[in-house]
Amino acid sequence: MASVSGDNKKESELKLKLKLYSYWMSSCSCRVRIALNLKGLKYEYKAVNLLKGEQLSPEFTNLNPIGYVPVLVDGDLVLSDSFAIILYLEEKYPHLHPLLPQDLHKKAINFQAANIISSSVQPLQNLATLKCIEEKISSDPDLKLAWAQHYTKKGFVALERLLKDYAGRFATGDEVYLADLFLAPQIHAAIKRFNVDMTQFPLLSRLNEAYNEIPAFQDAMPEKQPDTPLASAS
Amino acid sequence: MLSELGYTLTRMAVSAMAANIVSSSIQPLQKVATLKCIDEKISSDPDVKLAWAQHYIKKGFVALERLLKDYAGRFATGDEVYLADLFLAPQIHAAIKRFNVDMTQFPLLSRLNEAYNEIPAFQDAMPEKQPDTPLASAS
Repeated sequence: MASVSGDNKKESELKLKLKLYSYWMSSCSCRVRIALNLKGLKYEYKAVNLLKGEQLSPEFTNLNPIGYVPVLVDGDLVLSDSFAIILYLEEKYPHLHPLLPQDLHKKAINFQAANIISSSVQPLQNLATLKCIEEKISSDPDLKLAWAQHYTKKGFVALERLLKDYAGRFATGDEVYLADLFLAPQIHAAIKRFNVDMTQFPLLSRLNEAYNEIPAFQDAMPEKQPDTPLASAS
Repeated sequence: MLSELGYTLTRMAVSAMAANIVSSSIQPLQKVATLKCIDEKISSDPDVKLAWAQHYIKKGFVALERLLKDYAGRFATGDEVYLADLFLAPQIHAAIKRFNVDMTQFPLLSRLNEAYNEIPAFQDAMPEKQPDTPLASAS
């Protein structure tokens, strides 16, 4: 291989960089942003404006045919789905802030909690689903809010019960693990977007306060992204 | 854990992606509880529910056809059964038996479905063969 000059080195560094296609408000993107922050991995932020439909562009659907964010590009690998991305990062960089506990039982609980969020809560309250309800069924905004709150609360009740025997400072003990990466953005969305009354969820409320003190979590939150609209930034 | 299966990192990632397309983007939107919620809170028109379920299944299946075309062998991500196949088989089964999805638009998934139909471990797990299968649906 030829040696690289100064300009070529910068270019090749840029080419090696991780790229994350993300939307500021997307809780799935937020999970991956937290993972990248915790592992100290630098990435190029590629904004995809979901409200403007940029996820439906030919350029983006070439990357991810289902039209969802986040998408991680690592060299030649194009990877979508937050769960798959986080597991990939975990396999590739296991020494950087491990995200899964060694204990088999605890590891399984992490997967269970993460999937309560990723299968039973988030898909039922994301922009695409709410838009589908609006376009195909009913444009009543109260209906959409009630729908989103219904699924959020259902999942949160399950999580309160699941985690009460495992939680320490964080969801499954005193270290941050996979479950926390899924919980933090979902709790944030419940509070900021769907006005869910969190007093019924004391454990999740306490976890939320713990997440609010960690820079890796805070820097990943919707209000702090390159594409956050000025009105929502903090 | 996953690396013990002898996967390359890429194939592991593709398998996880495919599994999650099913478990996050298709199944939750077509399952009994969601359709019941639509029925009770939004519209009791059965055509609305069917169209809703078909919409999400087709959307996910289009994505799966594109994702897997560069990786599929005899099975979803090569010539061995792996994680993605466990998620695909039941979803394709539901698409055909419950939601009348036209599978001619999904040639790869159709071919995978035929492959799954030849494996006892998959067939014995199918809805028609369970202890609680109603007599009318049993096989």
